[in-house]
Amino acid sequence: MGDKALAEAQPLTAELTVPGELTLVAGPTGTGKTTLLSRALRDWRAAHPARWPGAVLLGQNPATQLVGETVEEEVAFALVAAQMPDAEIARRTARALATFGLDDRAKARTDALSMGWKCRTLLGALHALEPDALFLDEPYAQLDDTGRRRLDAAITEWLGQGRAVVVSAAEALETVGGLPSGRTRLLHAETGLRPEPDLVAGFCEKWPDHAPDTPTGSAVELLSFTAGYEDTSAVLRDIDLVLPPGSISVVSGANGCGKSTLLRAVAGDMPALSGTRRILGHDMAGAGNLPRETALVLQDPELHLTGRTVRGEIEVASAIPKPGAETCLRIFGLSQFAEQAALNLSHGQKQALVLACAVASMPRLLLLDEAFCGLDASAMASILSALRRIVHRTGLTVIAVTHDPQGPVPDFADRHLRMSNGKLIDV
Amino acid sequence: MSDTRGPATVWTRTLFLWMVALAIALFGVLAPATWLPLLSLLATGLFIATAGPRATLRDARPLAWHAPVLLLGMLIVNGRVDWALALEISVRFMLTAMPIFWLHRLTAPTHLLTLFERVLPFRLRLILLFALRIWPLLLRDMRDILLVARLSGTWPARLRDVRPRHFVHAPGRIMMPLGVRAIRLSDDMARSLEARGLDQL
Repeated sequence: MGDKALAEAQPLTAELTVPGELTLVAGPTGTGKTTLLSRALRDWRAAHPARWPGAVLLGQNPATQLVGETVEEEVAFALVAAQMPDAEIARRTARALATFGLDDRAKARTDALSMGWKCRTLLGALHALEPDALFLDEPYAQLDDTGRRRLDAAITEWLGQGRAVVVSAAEALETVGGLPSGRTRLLHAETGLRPEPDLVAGFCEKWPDHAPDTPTGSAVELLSFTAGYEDTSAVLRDIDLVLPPGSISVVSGANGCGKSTLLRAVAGDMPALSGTRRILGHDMAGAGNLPRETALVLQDPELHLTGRTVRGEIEVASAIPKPGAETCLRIFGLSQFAEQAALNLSHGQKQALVLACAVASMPRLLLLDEAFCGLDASAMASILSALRRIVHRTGLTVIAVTHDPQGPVPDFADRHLRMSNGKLIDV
Repeated sequence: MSDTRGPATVWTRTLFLWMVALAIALFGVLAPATWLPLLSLLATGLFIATAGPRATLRDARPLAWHAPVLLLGMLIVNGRVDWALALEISVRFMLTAMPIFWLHRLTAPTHLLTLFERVLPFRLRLILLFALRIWPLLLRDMRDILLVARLSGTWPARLRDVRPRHFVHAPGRIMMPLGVRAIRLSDDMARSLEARGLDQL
């Protein structure tokens, strides 16, 4: 967020928190929603120094905010640190766990949770603090339908208790989750992504010269496939999946059902307990065998970044010389950020960059783990369109995971796979 | 291992920790020349006894990353490797780093906060919690970074396939994201605690 935008935001932070009202802060990726919310939190605390904790904030990436080892510990953590009486800690923790449907997972380890469940755990931790104002930075982005309904119910309860709730979202919706938003503050993009899918044709002309040959037969073949670690029960069970080259498949399902694990199993990161695993024509029986010509985009884009500028990141990942990397930069709408440090981009912009790097490496198989989180609707539509064209021109095979079966991601796929409890239930 | 954490267990283990500390101090006084190997044997034995040999191997593996850095450092500074000195530094390093894994494996972070309530000021307890919490997160991220590197061919799938050319790309493609990640994790975790009002306590 630039100085000008910050200056404009100053009077806005005071207006955001009205007791008993829900405010939606909406704007495309990179417009400064996170900065605005952090600022509003600080302003609120400065105005109410005597209250504890007064206002709380949920950050965008749940994975890096957890401090407790189990869900229950995480929810109770700040209460324990504040040396509240044991009975009060137990009461608040139990209520928070029930509100976000965490009772069954109270003893689960936080590092083993899926992103959606991590998000719910953090929301529970904030709920237990019974704050006067809550700032939630894109809380719906990681939640499945059940999680969204739980959050809607919690927001209704908070508003009924006279608390102020501020929620940020990538687009100006008339509702936040299932709730009509009381007030909407739009942040206008000065630096949003502007993808150019029309450049795909030129980019794909170079593909056959640099990319490996398309495999004959199926790109992915899992037959009676069961996978997991030796010291735990099977995480994936009886998976039968055959995907032809040049296809786009989307895997959806509730948080924690095993979608990301399936992707990791295809990437060779999960030991096969039984069944057949054949990727791009190679048999991959045990762990340690990784499929070549495969690119994986993780949920957290920062794990891919190497501290370079946006252009530098693409050039390093690219299988083709500079002009091709430049085209890729434009296809994914990143040309105006080309000289910026990649680590300084917004979450959505980093996602677009990591997708661009993966495509620039010209793989045969592209695995996308919630790779569209944080992108605004317009940028996502253009990027999905570009990916679709690339797939159809090059024979690239794509498997994308999403927690949102109603969103735009399943619409761009040739086939939609649904998962539940480690099994494919609908192919 | 990590789920048997009632208050009684915590106090038993605390007593155990103090006994170990006392034993180490005694060794130091009685036999100064042999304290280092004895200490390393003791620490390893305790770790294996409490966490199990497989967990010990798994948890200690990332610590081994210090070895190439150490050897390379010696080569650059002295032009040769002093194996005796390298071994001594390695043992000292492992001894310093092992208790972090050990404490983390045995005691939940919230119990640690309670445990040290009367001994350490709140801010120091938070710093201790940070140190314990960040290690496993960093290890998980390291696995992900290595997976991406292996898929892209920057790092081989098996250790026996490592060649000198892999070390050319490793600093940029593996160590850099890991370093950035460590800083980002600390920053995010601090913000998360701040966002819950812990900075106001």
